[in-house]
Amino acid sequence: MKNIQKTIIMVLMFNSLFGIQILPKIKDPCSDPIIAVAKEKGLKGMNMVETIRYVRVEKACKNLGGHDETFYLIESKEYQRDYEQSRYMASWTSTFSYCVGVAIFYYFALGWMSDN
Amino acid sequence: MKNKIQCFILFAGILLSNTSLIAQPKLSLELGMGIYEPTLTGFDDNNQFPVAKVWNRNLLTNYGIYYQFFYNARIGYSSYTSWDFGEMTSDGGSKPIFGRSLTYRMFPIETYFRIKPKIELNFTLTPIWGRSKISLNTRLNESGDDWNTLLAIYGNEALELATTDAMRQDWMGYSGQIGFRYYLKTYLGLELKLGFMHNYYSEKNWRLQGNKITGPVYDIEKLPIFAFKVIYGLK
Repeated sequence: MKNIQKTIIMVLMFNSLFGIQILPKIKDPCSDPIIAVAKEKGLKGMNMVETIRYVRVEKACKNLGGHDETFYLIESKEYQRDYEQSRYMASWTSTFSYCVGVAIFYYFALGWMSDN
Repeated sequence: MKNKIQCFILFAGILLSNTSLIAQPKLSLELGMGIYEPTLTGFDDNNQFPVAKVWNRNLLTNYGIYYQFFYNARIGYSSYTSWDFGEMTSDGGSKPIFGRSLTYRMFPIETYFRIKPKIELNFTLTPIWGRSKISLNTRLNESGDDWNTLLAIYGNEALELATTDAMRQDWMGYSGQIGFRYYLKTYLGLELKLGFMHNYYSEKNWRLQGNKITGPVYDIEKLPIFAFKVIYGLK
């Protein structure tokens, strides 16, 4: 365990002191295949490894002066889809929410009334 | 029976594979902190226990997992735990290490809707399965001697050993919460929750090595609770 800690500290120190790259630099980030994957699956549909890759690609592409619009469109499309799906409460969910609201209101209102 | 199990596995496999292909990810993890204000008379009235501070009285650590099972509804597991540990200052004792946890395990049903593309309001109602655990890490006793006998067989010198044991109590309760969630990314959100907890706790019937004992008095029947969480859409 101590050896692992030492190794991690050494790697981080060398990385910060000599600028060694732990993760390989992304070549041509603005046309990386992960962008197509994000368009197809959506950001929430990607696994964690793909998400990390996507975040790195996005950052690298923006640093190179690439189009923000591609990433903006991917994200806003997903926001919009989630918004449309959950904009209105379906079936019993509105009744449930109402019950929760009433329970909380009575809890705090009655609590306040019993204190005064 | 074996065929039925195989059919079930096949059916579940097809269902899950289709779900992952067609539907959007619905599994999310949460990590957060809560604040509440219990009155733990069983500890505060006795100066042998660690001094009451914000971190060991009012602060709760929280984690949870949710699955969206209906259009606007999630079901899951969420746990809030209050921790306390330190040295007991009893006269004549071995000054054991004292540990106390109060865990509010929740099985919430949460309904939600988005008022803006990035802003969500959610409503949670949940039963609570609470558990408190008090542990003592005591030094120097007969079990220590037994260990030293065993260690001596292998040629070791005697060590000063500690033994740990814990007393536990479970109780039931319920909670209602309203949450306000802001999405930083489509898969990452910050959430504020406000609500109440109602616990049916009794200091009687604690358990210690199969014995029924009386535990500390907690005034945790009606408690407001506030929580701040980070939500990650896992899959």
